[in-house]
This record gives sequence, C-alpha cells and structure tokens, in this order.
Amino acid sequence: MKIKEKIKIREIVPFLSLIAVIVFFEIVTNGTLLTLKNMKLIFNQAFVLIIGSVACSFIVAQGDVDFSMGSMVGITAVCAAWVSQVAGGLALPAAMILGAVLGIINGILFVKFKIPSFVVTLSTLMVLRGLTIFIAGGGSVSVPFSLYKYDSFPLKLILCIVVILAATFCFNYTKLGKWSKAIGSGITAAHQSGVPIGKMRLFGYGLSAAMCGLCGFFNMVRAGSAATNTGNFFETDILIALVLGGMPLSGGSTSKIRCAVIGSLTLAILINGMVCWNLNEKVQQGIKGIIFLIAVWLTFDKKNTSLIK
Amino acid sequence: MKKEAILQVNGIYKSFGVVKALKDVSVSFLPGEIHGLIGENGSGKSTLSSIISGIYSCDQGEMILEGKVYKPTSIMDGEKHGICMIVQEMGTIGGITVAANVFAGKEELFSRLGIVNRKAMNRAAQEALDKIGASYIKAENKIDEESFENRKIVEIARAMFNDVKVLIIDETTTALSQKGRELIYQIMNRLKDENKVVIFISHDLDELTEHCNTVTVLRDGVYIKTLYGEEIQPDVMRQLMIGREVQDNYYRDDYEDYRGGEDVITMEDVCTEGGLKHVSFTLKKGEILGIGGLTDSGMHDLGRTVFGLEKCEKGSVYLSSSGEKIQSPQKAIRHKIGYVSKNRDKESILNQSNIMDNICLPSYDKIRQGIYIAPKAERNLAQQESDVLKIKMSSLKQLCGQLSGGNKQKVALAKWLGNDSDILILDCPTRGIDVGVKAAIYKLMDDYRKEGKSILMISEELPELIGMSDRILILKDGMVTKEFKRSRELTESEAIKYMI
Repeated sequence: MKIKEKIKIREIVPFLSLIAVIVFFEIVTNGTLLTLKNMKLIFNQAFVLIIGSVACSFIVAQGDVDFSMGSMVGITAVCAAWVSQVAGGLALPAAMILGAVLGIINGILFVKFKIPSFVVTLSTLMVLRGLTIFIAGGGSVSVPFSLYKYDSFPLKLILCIVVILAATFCFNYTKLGKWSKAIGSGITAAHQSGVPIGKMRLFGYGLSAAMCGLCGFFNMVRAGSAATNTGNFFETDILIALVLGGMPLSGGSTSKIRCAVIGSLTLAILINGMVCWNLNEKVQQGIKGIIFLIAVWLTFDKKNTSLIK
Repeated sequence: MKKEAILQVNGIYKSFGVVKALKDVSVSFLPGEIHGLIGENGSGKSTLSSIISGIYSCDQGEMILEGKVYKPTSIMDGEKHGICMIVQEMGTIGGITVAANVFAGKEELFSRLGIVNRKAMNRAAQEALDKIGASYIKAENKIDEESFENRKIVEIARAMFNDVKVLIIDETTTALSQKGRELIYQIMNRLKDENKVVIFISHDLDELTEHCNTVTVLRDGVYIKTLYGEEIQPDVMRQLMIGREVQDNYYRDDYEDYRGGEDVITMEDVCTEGGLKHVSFTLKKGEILGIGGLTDSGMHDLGRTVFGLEKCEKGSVYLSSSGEKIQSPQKAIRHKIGYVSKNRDKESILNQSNIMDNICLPSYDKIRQGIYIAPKAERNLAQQESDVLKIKMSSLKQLCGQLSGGNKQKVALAKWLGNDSDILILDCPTRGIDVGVKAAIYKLMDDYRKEGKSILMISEELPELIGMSDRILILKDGMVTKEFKRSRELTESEAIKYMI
C-alpha cells in the first residue's frame, strides 16, 4: 500500500508543477502568459522541445543519454539551409537523413567501439559544433523566402500531435518501445530474452538525431536562417524537460512518453514566463539550473536506481 | 545430563513495517550442536540469524550468551562476542589481498608505529588458511583473483581466527562446489568437537540430515519444533516446514521410462575462452540431460555456449536437424530454445518490471499482430502461464522484484513456456528455492519431458542430477570425463569420483 502511494505521488508531481508554473507566471505577469498571442509563442518554444524529448525517449528508456542533440540541430539546420538555396523541397529530407546518419554514427561508436554513450555523445556534441561553424562559414546561412510558409502554426500543431501519437503507440504497443524499456530495466536479462541490444541502440540514436533534423529544419524556417549557434543548449533543455516530466534518466519500465510532453510544456512555459516577467537572461540560466536540481530531487527514486548508468 | 546452553534466544519479536518476520521465537543452542535452521523462504530464519549476529536488533525479547545478557549493537560487536556469520552474498572486500581480508579491522595486530608488517600478516593469514585445510589459497594473492568459492573460504578463515563460540552459516553451501562444501563440513565438525555451536541454514534437506544433530523448524516467523538426532529426516522436516503432508516422490520415480528420440542439438568439439575444452555431446528429443561438475568445471559456460551467449573458439553448436549454427540468443530463441541463468536476479528477471512484461518479453513475435502488440494478448499469455506455474502474486502488474526467489524462478520459467520453447537450458534451476517450489519445478520438468521436449539441466546438486536426469555428463576442468545413464544404482560418491 505504502509503495503504491509513493509511486502515485511521484506520478502526480510533474502535473502539479506544470499547473504551478502556469499559475505562478499568470499571476506575476498580470495575465500576459495566457493571452492567445503568447500561447502561440509558448507553443513555438514547446514544439521543438516536445519533438526532441519524445524522440530521445527511446534511447533514454534504454538507460542512455544523447548529449549531442544541440549540435545535431545546429549542423542539420545549417546543411538544410545550404540545400534549400539549391532546392527548397529537399531541405527537410536532407536534414532528417543527415541527422539519422550522424545518429547512427553515434550508435556505432557506442556499440561497436564500446565507448560509453555519454562520452561518445559529448564528443560528437563538440565535434559537430565545430563542424557547423566551419560549414556555416562563421556566420549564418539564409533561407529562401519560399520556405517561410512552413513556419505555420497549424502545420506544427498537427505535426506535433502526430509525433506524440506515433511515439506513444510505438513506445507502448510495439517491440521498439517494449524492448527499449526492457534494456533499461536490466540489460543482461533483456539480452538473454532475445532483445537485440546493439540494433536497439542504433535505432535509438538514429531516431533521436533524425528528429533533431526535423527540429533543425523548423528552427531554420522560423529564424529565416541557420547560424553557428542554432540549437545551442538544446541537449540540456531536453534533459531538463525530461526530468521535469518525471522521466527516469536511468530508463526502464517506468519511462513514459507523457513525461516528455509534460516536461517540455513545463519548461517552455517556464522560459517564456521568465521572459514575460522581464528577468535578466543570466538569472534565467541560474533558475533553470536550480529547477533541474529540484526536479531530479523530487521525481527521482534515489534508493532503487542510479540516475545515469 | 542436560548441558548449559551457550546461546539462549528468548521470545524474540521482529517486524519490518507491517510484516511480522518473527513472532515469539525461543531457541536454545547447546554446546556441540550443529543446529540446522530451516523453513520456507520468508519463514524468518535469515532474520533470526541476522539478529543473533548483530545485523538487526530485535523489537522484543532477549538473548543470553553464556549466562550473560547479549545485546549486539553491530556485526562487529557480535564478532567481539565470538559470534560470526558467513552470509549468502559476497562478504569480502575487493582490491586487497587475501591476507588483508582475513585481518580486515585487525591490522593493529601486525603494525608497529602505524606501519603494517605485510610479511607477518601474510604468514599469519596463511597459517589461518592452512588450519582450516585451505592451504591451496595463497594469502598474498589479490582477493579478486580468487573464485567466488575461495572467497567464501577466506571468509571462513577470517571467522575462525576469532575465538568463535557460535558460527552461523547462511545458505553458503548452495553456492559452493563439492570441494568447498567438504571443507565447510570439516570445520563444522571441528567446532562441534570443541563444544561450540554451529547454526546452519540450508534448503538442502539431505545435507541437513547428514550433518546436523539438531534442527529447528520455523514457519511464517513462528517456532514450530526442534528435532534431535534420529528424528531428523527429510520427510519429517518437509512436513513441518510446509505444515501439511508432502508427497514422497520429490524427484521423478521412473527408471525405465526413457523417451529420448532423435538428436536436437549437437555440440561438436567446442573450446571456449571460459574454459570448455573439446566438448562434444548431443541433446535428444524428450530427454533430460544433466550436466554435473564443480563450479569451475565449465558447466555453466556450457549452458551459455549452447544458448549462443559465448563464442566458440573452436568447434560449433548447431541444430542437429538442419546443421544451422547457434551463435546468438536471438537465433537460439528463434529455434525455440530457452535459457534460465544461474544468476536469477541479474540475468533472467527484470526486477524493475512487472510480471506481465517479464513473461511476455521473449514472446512479442508470437503475440503481435503486424507491429501491434495488444495489451489483451499480453495479459492472456501472462495469465495463462502464471496459472500453469501457480505464481503467487497480487496481480500481473506486480513488480518482479517484490516476489520471493521461488516465484521469480517461476516467472523465469513462465517466460520460456509462454514462448513454446522445445528446448530448455536450466542452470541451477532450484538454487535457493524452498521445497514447495522445488517439487513444482521437478514436476514441470518431468511433464515437459513427457511432451517430447528436451531439457539441458546444469546443476551443482548431485541428488537433483541423479534424481531427474536421463543421462548425466560429468565435466571436469572443461572436459567431459564420464557419461552416466539413469539408474537406481548410481550414487553420489560414484559421480563425485569423476568430478575431482
């Protein structure tokens, strides 16, 4: 009985914190937060967070992390921008395919060369950022006007819903999700039950990075250009979002897509709210860090598992 | 001629939250006793021994050690009073030498001005090891180089160096091979002759019958009865533990009913890094093939190799019918082979997942429709298999980690039965499991055999091998030394000859 109650509380915390964040900023910004115009802004912020955190849920469920996401967004955005100058229609596929390839390279370094995943993705984070600066020629690459139409609210809303539904389905009702969670719960036992660990890891990193390509594309069309700093700190934002949503970073059976979505919304509102509240940007960073700590402390079951394997 | 008890335990109560682990338990431990403590999983025997050794304190009741009230505050305090415990799990400290382990916490015996005289310590440790008949363990070696078994023996040497009055051995022997067990039995007997007390916890009733002169039975945290001398018999103990009459035929009772058919799996001239040397055998349809030997004989490696978990450096494992090689667990599973590891908690069960997820894990290809895995199909499969195995659980959503050892093992078996496996590789299938579940597993194995399916059973327990197998292969130093056919005449000592 006691255990059950504890689990319930841990499941409710993310919902409560989402509501708390909304109420708090609605009050301190004198109602600016929930105006239609601002909600659209929030959605734009939340859109990439949701896509990114949902996509990396599979690899997180396996008990691994992807620190390279920020640079993945950056490099795919810059490459997509170059491509768009030649052929606008190819920008999105190019971004996603490039992402998938780079993600699979992440996976191969981890699986075949047996380098710990956080080392691999931290390294690619740095390498790809450097490469992005090189490719962008030190400045930014602009995008033809014809692509601006993709920065549309209805399109993004539909895409967002489709991604969430598809991910939820795969996560709960297909082998992809079930195997990912099994790996996070116990890798040896999963292996001995026939789960192809290596392939699942390649899939996880490939998916995460391919969807970074999608985020990169929408980042690019929204800004009208792709710059060397596009996607900076995306990976940390994703981590904060996941934790705020109650996702165990050690993976396993308690992982849920819901966590990624709720956490992304909470973080997007938090960031937007702080801007509306006219907080200094340095202070905003500090607050994000503190909230990350508190979220880990509140949502994570310290006794049974380690946060990161 | 009633002797004064060395240790008297009076009216002990202990609760963990709402669970009452011990209720008013009183036992006397007399000098010269090898006192078996038995009961099903969760009966409170480990709790009682933990209280005696000072790991837990009791809620109520008292203990009298040689006429004085004994109230240990920690396991160290217990040791100071001469009460030592050898636990089930690892009790040594990694990264340091054997000698340093023997004298951990007692370094001042060998130090002068804060500098430890390693030579003197090694010498003394070697003496301690020699004294218990384990001279083959070298005191100056790093503990990590020693096998699990040898580390247990180092623990015993450590315990024996103290002036032991009461030695508690908690289910240690199940993890040991014959050699290690013999050593423990010798030590037990020596303590008995010195009029000390040995408290011996084991699931192996034959072992208890053979070595104990007193046995106390606990059931659901309550003291049931103490048996002396001739009263100690497996049937009697079994009945007291479970509280009802148990069938006599624990193992299968047939000797002529051999149903072996065509070959299903062939292992041909296999060498592995783990120590198999030119091993060849075939497993036939409808038979139980037993694999016996000492822990480090390579028998566990053999099971892993058949399931595709270990690479063959030479030779191969293949399906006899098609010649297709088995090189990965996925391939093995596709060909309806199931494997239950010796290391239940790490390798065969996901403790953080629920029972349903555990049972269905290898069977998703069987129950999916397209890519969709219907929750209903999962529930049906899990319900069906847990009914067959009579898994004791609150619901299919219960976490496996909350189950007892026996029920976890049932889940591990349910996984493979649910996947319609035709071949089961069982590594120590009844390790650390109480008699009730043990009997159920043996019954299941026998039924499985009669259905024309095959079992490769790897076991460190000779009675189980002799009782259940159609054929037994004995492994020694990675090589097959002997094959026995099922027979009434086969004895343990006959089999041991080929193991050592």
